[in-house]
Amino acid sequence: MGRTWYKYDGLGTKGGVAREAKPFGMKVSEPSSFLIVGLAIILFLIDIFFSFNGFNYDWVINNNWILAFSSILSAFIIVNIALYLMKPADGRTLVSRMALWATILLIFTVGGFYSAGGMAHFIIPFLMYFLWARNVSDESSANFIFTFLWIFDFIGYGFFYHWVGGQAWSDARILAMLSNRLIIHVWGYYALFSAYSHEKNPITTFLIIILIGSLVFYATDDGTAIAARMGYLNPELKNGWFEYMSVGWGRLRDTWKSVPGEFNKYKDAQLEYATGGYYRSEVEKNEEEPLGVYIENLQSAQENYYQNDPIVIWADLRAKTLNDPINISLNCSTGTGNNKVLGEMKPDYYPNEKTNFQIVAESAESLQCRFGSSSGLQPATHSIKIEAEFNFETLAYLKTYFMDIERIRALKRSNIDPLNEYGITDKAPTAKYTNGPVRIGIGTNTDLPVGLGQDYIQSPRLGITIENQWNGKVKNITKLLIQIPESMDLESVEENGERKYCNGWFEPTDYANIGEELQDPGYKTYRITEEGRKTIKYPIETFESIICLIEIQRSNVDDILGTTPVATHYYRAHTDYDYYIENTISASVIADPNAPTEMTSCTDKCNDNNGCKCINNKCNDYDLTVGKDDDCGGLKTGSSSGSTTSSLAPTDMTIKIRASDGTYDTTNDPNVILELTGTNIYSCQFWNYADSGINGPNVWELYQTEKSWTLNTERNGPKRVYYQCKSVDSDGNQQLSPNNIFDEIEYTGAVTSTTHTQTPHDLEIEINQGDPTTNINHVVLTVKAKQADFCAYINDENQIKSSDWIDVSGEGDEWNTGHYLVNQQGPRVVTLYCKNSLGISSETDIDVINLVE
Amino acid sequence: MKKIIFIPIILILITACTGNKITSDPIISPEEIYTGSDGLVMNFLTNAPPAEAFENSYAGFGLKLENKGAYDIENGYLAISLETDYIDSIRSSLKSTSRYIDFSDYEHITFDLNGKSIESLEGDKDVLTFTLMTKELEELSQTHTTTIAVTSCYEYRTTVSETVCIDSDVNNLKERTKSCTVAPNTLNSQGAPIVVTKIEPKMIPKERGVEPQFKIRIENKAGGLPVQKESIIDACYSRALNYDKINKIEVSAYLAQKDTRIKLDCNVDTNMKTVFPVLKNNVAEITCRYDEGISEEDGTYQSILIIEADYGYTDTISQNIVINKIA
Repeated sequence: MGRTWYKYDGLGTKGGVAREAKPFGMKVSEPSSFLIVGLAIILFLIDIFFSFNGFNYDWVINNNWILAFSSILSAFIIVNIALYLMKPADGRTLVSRMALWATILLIFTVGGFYSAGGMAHFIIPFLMYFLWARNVSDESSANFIFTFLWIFDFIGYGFFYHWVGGQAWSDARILAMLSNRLIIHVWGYYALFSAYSHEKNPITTFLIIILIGSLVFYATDDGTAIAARMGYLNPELKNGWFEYMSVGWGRLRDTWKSVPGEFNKYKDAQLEYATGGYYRSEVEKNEEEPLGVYIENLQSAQENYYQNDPIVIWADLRAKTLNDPINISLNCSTGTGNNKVLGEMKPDYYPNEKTNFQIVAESAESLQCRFGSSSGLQPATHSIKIEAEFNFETLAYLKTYFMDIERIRALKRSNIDPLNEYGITDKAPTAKYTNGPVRIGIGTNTDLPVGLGQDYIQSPRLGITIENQWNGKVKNITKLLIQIPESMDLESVEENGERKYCNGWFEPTDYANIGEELQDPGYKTYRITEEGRKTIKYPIETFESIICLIEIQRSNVDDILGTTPVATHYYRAHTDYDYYIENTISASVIADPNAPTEMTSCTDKCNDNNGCKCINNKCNDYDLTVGKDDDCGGLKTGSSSGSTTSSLAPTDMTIKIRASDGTYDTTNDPNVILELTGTNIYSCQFWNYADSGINGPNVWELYQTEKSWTLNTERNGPKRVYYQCKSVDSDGNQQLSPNNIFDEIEYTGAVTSTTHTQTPHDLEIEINQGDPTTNINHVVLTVKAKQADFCAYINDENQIKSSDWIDVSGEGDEWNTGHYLVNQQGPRVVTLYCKNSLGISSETDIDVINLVE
Repeated sequence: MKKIIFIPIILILITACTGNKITSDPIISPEEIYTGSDGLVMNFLTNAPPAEAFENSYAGFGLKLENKGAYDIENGYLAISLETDYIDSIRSSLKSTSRYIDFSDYEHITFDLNGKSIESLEGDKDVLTFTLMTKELEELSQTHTTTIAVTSCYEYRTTVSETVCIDSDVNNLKERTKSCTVAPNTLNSQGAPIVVTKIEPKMIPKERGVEPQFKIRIENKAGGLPVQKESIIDACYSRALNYDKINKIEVSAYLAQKDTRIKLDCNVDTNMKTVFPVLKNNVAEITCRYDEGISEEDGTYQSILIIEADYGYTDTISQNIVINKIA
């Protein structure tokens, strides 16, 4: 680098062409190769942030004068190139200069220069020319190299960009990718190869490898996208393999993130199973015969929609049933609460009824969800949801064994497994259920066979679990039947002259009340009562269990045992229910480039050549000379209807958690509604304190006044839901609200699983890891406590309020948490209290930190 | 060249002569009869019952019975266990190669089957078949796996006849050469599922002679379950089968003494009541003794120890059938 070299004159080594006379042996300082590489990297970075599309093809074609002048210039350049190639004895430098200047004039003529990217593509090569090219090669070579590169950069790339834009498979995304000049970064190639040829060192070699790697990467990415759009590859690759992989990674990450939830569900189920409240089963036949209703292959008719264009989403609906017809009602929408917009579903075979389809056996339909041009969807990415609600039925059965009790005892005493002895291979039968959205589990005594004798009567347990096994919701159980062998009865008691079976949850039913297919003279049938139905919480998103006992009369023992050593009997359960499923797809609505920009404030400045319009009619100061709309008239480009720009920080934010029963204090249903208010809000994020602590998940969604939300259900107790919003002004500037806005509701729906033996103990708290002072009032608490479900961190000497309790049941014995001190200088005290189901701990702990300026 | 032609001709002649040689029936020895540890052996016929069947249709059921032991089975029982919600048998379709087989009730078949003998080294075989009828599956159900089990229950006997040495001069006081030595005998099988595997003789000195004692080891070498022989009907039905009725073997032992058979006392308790041995982990040991003893004048000689073990025996085989809905 920076080595001294002697620039010789006369015949050069490259072509031996006579050059412009310069003093032979003049000592000049060679520019560092890092200069040219650095300039190329700057241009490389500019290309990432600013688009550059070459010359403006449409403008040139539509402007005859420009077209004519640029044609003459082009001809002139060609002539000079021809002359150069003819190797004139002395005129090479001259023709090269003429070609270079004509090229520069051509660039100024045809455009593409009047943008940040265009300017960069002119100025940076200009610096390359004077600081590098003229010093490392003869002038004529430098002139022609730059002539070619500039023509390629402005003219060639402009043609290429225009050609791609005209292809059927092209769209804004492809053009945006091509505008990223990383793919054909000619100046970068020139800089690196030129630097490498003059100064071979490891760094330039490394940069060349990086450059080639980038080329391969982007060429692969964009090439994949183009090939996918042309139909040669999977359509999911239409945005390039990089985004495909990113989405794939996102899905993998989401799946991974869902593991704890699924694990909790599994854990709950295991806990219930261990305590006899969850009954397993397995599907009767594999998914080759999928029963139920499936909405699949959601596809948007277009990648992007202009605002006010109709949005069309396609989907496939598959349905199969083996028994009763399925009535399917379909719906499509986007947004929630007051912002919900309904689309039109087609086909609809029952236009005036809730039902769209009735499927008798098996069917497949193509669905269309359409949002008309008047749907009012704003430019944004909209999540469009296709919902289906349908009736379905599921059957399950469980095999169980009975044997004489004396025989069982004798065999077990002889260390012989009774079932093994009699050739029973399925020694722990699992209930089988028919495929569909709901799984029915049935459980009975785990110690099989059930022993019976004239002097020994047992009451086998019969537990039934109805579990939602799809991602939808069981909205309602319309029928639940239990069938047990004729020689058995469900346990019953006489109450007020009325016989109640299984706590009154079931009642015997005769053939008239059950379908023909369920009529079996060998079985007694019981159906769920209204009372039983009320024990089930809707919608069922996980599972619900019912447990009954079976009564066996002494007189029926012989019937149950039959005449062979092992008697096999079945318990059956059958349910009819309404099920809800949904599937979503995103559709991007973009502003129509020819439509006036909507102004969000009367004081905004209009930067749209097509004029602007106001979304309300309160602005009185618009210039009505450009366009006119229904609200307040057009606003002239560059003009402003006011003189000030408002600050749009979100204000007046409130949140209230409303339970599904409409109350606000307690809920046993984790599905709640968040009632939100606020002004200057564009989008918000929400989180459960138990899930994310005081930091939001950074998942933003458009603001709405009501939002469906699911509380954290790990433990009973106060549940906090936080929300944070941001505003976006017309220049795209964002302002965040504080992140400590929350509401709280007492949750009572969790199944208590932890058995505490004492109130929380061994409480310890430490502020900022024991630092004596801090100059900010947000500190980190290190907390220790054993057997704590909830803890409160109380500032100074405040009394504990119910809202101070924070769910820490998932934290273990030690955890860290952020905390705001009272924002006053001086010693600040934080007191730790904890509680669990046995009560508040008798001990507390405090720590003090000095809050300084 | 001529030699090559003659060699095949000679070979043909030799073969022809061999084929015409008059052969006599092989002589069946008792060792051949009383060997093996099988009694009744049951096997389903191939594809009967089938692995899969359709609802509301018929399927064949075939069972091959072989008495591979040395004892004749009389009034044996087969319990046919079906999940009658899904499959049933058509009793009238029962056929067999033996005229002694019939349904005794809805789920039981009685049979006789002779064991190996001097006339037949293989024991009797029988194949019984009947038709199964599958029932309609539940409306929503697409498939169902049902189990068919057959339990056999029959009386059987293990007979052992073994040479043992009786030595009345256990302390060698007479200082003369003995014709045999008292030593344990190890046995393999006796053509029955319950096998006497070891006989340990002991000569217990008495005032004027010895009391022969035989410690007999019995093992259940087949896969079934021995029951008291009076309980075989209970074993094939759902009736109570108490602990004192399973794994119980009635053992009798005799000692051939001159022209008589002396019955030994086996497992006699203090009240002189016989306590039958109970197999624990398929093994039992019993001691049989001759209380009167052998006089010292009788010297040392070989005798025949006959052991008879009577018991009931039960075994089960099963197979699953997948019933599919007719699409």
